[in-house]
Amino acid sequence: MITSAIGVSPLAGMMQGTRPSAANSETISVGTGFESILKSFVTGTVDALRNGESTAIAAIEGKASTQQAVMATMQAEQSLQAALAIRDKVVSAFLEISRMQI
Amino acid sequence: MSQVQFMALALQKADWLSTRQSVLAQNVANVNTPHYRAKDIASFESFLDNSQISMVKSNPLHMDMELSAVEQPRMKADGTGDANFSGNNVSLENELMKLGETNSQFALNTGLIKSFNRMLAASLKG
Amino acid sequence: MGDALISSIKTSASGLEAQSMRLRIISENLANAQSTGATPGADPFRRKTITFGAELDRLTGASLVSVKNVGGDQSPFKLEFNPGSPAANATGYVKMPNVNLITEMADMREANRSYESNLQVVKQAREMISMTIDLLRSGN
Repeated sequence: MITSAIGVSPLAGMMQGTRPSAANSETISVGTGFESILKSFVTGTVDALRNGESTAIAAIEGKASTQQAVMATMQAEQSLQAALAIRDKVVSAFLEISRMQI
Repeated sequence: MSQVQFMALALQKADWLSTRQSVLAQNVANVNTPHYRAKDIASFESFLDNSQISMVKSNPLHMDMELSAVEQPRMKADGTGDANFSGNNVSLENELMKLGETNSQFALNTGLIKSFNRMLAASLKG
Repeated sequence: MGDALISSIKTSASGLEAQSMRLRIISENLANAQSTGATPGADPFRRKTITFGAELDRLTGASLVSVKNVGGDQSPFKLEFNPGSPAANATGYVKMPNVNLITEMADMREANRSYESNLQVVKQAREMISMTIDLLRSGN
């Protein structure tokens, strides 16, 4: 299923801070190139989010500087917004495909 | 979810900073009160560990204050600064510096909360 | 402690009030620096002093500062030779108020500085409150 391959699962998994599992990427025959690009992109976003959060926590505890916290948080936010934009595009593409007459 | 961990910590920090603000305000208000010793609260780390401690009277010259809330960060008399002839050791520069610190930490804290709230809301939308 | 920031504003407000009172006393001293008595040998204006004390507002738990006492400075009056004055004693000396202009001016500057500092604390507490409320506005 397309959904489990690209669309919602890995990104939903990302929202919860977990990595997309390999089991989700069966079946799609669009081409592995696209899929691996997407996977690495999602991994990058997860990392940015994790880093943003841990730097923010460190700054609150006084262990990181203000600049570090702000930079890390901004990067996390940007990563997330890009990932969300992709997710939205993918979801609408899926819906469009599903509307296609067979 | 680690997002919850951040939020809980940030709220604790906001609490701690607000309490510190009120203690520093007390110092500034009492800059000319005889026998008044400048106060500060214990560090954020110890606040996290011991959120149940009530205020400790660390100086016999302290007036007797009962604060009813259970979660009081421990206050300590600021040992720095010489007391002048009236027994008051509040240094306005020192207090204002600490106030500035408190302000910028609070701004950072609130800004981070805002950002993470935004991210959470965005990922839940659509 | 309830709302610490609200308490902080109450505390600073009491500080502002206390320093204002202090400035009033200082102005009174300055205004009366030359006020002698009306009859021969009478005492002139006696310099006023003000003492603060810390106290606790039972209702809110806020720590306040208040004026504990307005007293008279017991330091001796100066004697000035001025036989023409109605307050001149047998030898022509008049008792002058024990107000020292330099001291009062220095005191006034310090009171002003304390006042400004309290004001700054109020502004900061207000800012912190509004930053917090602002989270509701554009946090999402």
